[in-house]
Amino acid sequence: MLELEGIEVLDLTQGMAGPYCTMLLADAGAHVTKVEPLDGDYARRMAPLVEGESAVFLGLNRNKRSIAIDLQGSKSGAILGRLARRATVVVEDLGQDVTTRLGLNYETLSKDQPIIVYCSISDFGDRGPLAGAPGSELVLQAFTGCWAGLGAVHDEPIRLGADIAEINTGGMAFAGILAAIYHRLASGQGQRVDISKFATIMHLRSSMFAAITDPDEWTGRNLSFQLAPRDFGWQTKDKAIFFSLWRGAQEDTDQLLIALGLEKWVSHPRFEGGARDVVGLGQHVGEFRHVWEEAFEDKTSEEVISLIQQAGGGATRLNNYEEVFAHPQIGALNLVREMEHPELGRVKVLGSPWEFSNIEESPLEPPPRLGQDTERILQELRYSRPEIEAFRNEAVIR
Amino acid sequence: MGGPLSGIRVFDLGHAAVGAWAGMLLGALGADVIKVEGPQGDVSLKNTPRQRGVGTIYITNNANKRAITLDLHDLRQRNAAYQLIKHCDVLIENFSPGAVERLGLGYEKVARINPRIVYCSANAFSSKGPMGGFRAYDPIVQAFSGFVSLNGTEGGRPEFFRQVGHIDKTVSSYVLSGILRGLIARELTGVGQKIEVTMLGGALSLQVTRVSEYLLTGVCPAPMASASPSTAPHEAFYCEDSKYIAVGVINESQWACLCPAIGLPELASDARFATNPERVKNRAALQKILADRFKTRPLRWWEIQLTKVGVPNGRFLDIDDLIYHSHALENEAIVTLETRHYGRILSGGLPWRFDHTPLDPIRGACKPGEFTGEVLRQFGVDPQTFKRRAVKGANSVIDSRRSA
Repeated sequence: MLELEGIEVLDLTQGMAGPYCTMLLADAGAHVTKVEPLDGDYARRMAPLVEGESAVFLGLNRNKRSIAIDLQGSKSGAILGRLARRATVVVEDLGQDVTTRLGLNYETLSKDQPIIVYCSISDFGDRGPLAGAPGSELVLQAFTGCWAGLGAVHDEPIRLGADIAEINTGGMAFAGILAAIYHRLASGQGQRVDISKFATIMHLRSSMFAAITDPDEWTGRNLSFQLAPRDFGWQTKDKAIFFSLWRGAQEDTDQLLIALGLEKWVSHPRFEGGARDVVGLGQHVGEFRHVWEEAFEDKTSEEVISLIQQAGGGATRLNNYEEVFAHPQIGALNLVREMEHPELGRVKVLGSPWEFSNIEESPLEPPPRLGQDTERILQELRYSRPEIEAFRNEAVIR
Repeated sequence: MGGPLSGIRVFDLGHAAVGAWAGMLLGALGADVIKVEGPQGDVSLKNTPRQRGVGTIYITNNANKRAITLDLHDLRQRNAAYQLIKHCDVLIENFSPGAVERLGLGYEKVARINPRIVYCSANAFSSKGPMGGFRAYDPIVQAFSGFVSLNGTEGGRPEFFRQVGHIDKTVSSYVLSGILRGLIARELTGVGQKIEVTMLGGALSLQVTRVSEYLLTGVCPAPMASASPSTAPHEAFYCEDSKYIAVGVINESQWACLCPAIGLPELASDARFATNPERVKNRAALQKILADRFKTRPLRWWEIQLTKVGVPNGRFLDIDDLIYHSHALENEAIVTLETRHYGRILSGGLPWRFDHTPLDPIRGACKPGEFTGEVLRQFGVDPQTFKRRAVKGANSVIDSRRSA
């Protein structure tokens, strides 16, 4: 079973955060109707495209149906109203002005349907000097200080290559909606859930704010990161690695030092306590990186990792995606699945991060073409053929 | 307690980051979270930096909880745990695979005591597969999952995100939503279930857009400095006053607005940049034109022009700036937690606002074991029984097993 079966979701989102959230709802069995403007979700044009299909759109929109409707003009209100009336969950990122104009704001919908769970996703939130301001992944990473954990002081700021603001927000919006649905099951009452990408990133950075409040000493990674140099891990003959010795037994650490030709460091105070100060996230990693790297220089990452593991430590290469997805652990955890796509044939998609003992695996219906389900949805909404034709001729729908 | 999970009770064996933060989130949503620590306490107590002698991540990761201490190797205290579990809806644990079973709190045992329990295990790589049971923490998962491979200067080496615990918190969000899915399923079936979340799965999910790129094209992503791989122009530009502005044009109407706003209206009809895919393809040429333009005026000028026409833009702020920023404070995106033992401490706020079941203000962490007596008595266990030494004879078998 899928626990959200029977729940009708009206999806008024585009891009990454909202669609990721509604995909998670669809994966859990909800029936998601994706409302797109006439020229489609702008993510359909996000690079890279293969045979006209956007990889990003493909990865964020499975298990949904699409209706393409004019969101600028005034004639779509009635259709949207009928759509909203049968939904018990609404997810939107259009903003209060647009939803009000379309008659799809929370106040309007909840009046007829108090059970509705209505989730609004914004970039910067709805209060404060930047209320309603538009954002983007980089803008949000910049504003929330993420950039300072990368690059070098006084050098150009760079970003995390993953879309962390968007995807974390989509995941948290999903959690918020689930919590509201859970509450509704017990109480019969719906509600509005507001979430912003700004607030999501700030909450994720709690440790940073805690660290600078009033620390006893200025020590620890979450204080030193800004002045620290770029961190490339430890270079070996072929690839860089990351490793820790887990504060293991000193004999094991000493054996490792000897095996690496580093016996002169065996009684050095910095290498005590399982070398905790100079491996992993230790305080003096930077100063002693060259010591390890000189020893690793003539050994492959495989050899070095093996030696570290023999010493009871943990190590990994800094994998690129080819290495990640060739690794057998991916298959063991079913993290890549195959989906049939009408144009692209069999494509690979990322699986879910959870495994449940009593909820089945998510379905894998390919993302819809733009307006793929417009006709069917309008028929479900009890519009006649002539009415649907008229909408099409007037460019109200596609 | 306010919030949509008011009435839910959690047996929180979560420690360090992933498990503990998930417990904090359940507490923030209104659940009664009982943090169960062993006699040594949570490992994060000793992390640096510390405030009043305690790791600041302990203080923030364990907000919204009542902490109790139980030595689960002691059978009487283990029985007390079973007694508490009968009254709990959720159990969280993030030990290495096998450890929680050795403590007598594996899923099969717990489900026999309470079939309605929604039981979530979080670990690095799961117990399955060639890396089953492999011990790991955030930076190892950053490296293994390819997260690191995406960061760096163009043509440069991939670099780590130097702030610790970023992946941890994303994994916690999947622990949270997994548990919520289990609670909803329980309303339909009447029983709980076991859920497993891995840091590897969570880290890859965080990268879903880049992973999707790779799975479709087979091309390995490489670091791109501040640039986005999916939209353009979407990167940092250097301004006349030596500051950088983040610019993010993510749809066609923003592109149409940007060009006149920066005094380059003809750019909007340049075929090389007509659509997003074209702009991404010709990013190098576009970047050169825009960089030359942005460096002619100070950041503030561009901020005004772009904001006027609705093009996403922003400054690169430091943590130190944010703690005084009115936008952060008005949105309660930074909050001050009062604690009884550690003073006041700043933390990020919560991502959501609920209107009918508003969330209570975050309650700062208590001391380890502070609520042991209160919680045990609440569920009919007399904590005094732990203090009595084992009686010889009847219990000597148990004692000898315990010390083995």
